[in-house]
Amino acid sequence: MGLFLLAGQTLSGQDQPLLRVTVVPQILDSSVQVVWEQTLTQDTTAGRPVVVNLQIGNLQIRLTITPFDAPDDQFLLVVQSLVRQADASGAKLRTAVQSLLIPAGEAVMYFPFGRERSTNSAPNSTPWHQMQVEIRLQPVAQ
Amino acid sequence: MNPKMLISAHVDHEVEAPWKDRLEELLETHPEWREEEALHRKVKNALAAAEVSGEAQSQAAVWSRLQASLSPPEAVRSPFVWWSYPAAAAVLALVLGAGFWLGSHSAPVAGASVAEIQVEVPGGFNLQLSGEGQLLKVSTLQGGAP
Repeated sequence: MGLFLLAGQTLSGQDQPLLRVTVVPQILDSSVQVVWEQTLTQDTTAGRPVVVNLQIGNLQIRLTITPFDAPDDQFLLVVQSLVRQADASGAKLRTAVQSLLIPAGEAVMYFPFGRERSTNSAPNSTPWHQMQVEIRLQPVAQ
Repeated sequence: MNPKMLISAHVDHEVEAPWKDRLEELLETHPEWREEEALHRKVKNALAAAEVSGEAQSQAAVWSRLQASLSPPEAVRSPFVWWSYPAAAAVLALVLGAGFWLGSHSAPVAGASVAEIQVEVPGGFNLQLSGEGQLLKVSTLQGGAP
């Protein structure tokens, strides 16, 4: 078998174009304002995942982000999520796999718990938050 | 336990009596359950047909499947192809899972490790956990589309 398995991908995992994965987990309040965020960057190569583990109280979110080369200077971004919520009654697990074709540099947003579009208009209602994760892929100039 | 959760195990012949008999009764009387069972069998067959070994070869196989399902872009959805998307996703999840397992049970190989980032998020947030995961382009969000 030849060394080249995919475009630019070798068995040794070396001499491949580097990709910079920027991941920005954010927490928004009910008025859709960002109240917390952290920017993370990690260099990888096509087909090699970047894993982000988020710990939020009794919630654990494991995001496995894998970019693949795609035609027309695009990337196939595959995001696998595993959410574990533990409480006194036990633990719940939720998994999902999503994929999207994106050009280099274009930001995508991942909503681990779905996208909440309503606003918190009731004055006495409990304030709520939602999580979103911005993901961006950029080839690294070498 | 919801007996529907046993369909996948039933396909793998892992459900024993008396649950097996009860499940088969339900499958006979619920056409939508039979459809789900058929889907599980298709996914199982797709995984068996992959006949790949090794993480890199598995990823190549997955990529071929994804490419086949992505082109041509004008392809019309039909009952003959729709199941290939969950099948490809299932194969991919298997490949990634196998990759993690191999990564934690084999000697480290230069350049083959998986980068893991740990983040501790401050407490006090009341997160809404009701929905399913969604991946959207930011341009789509700004355009107001769902």
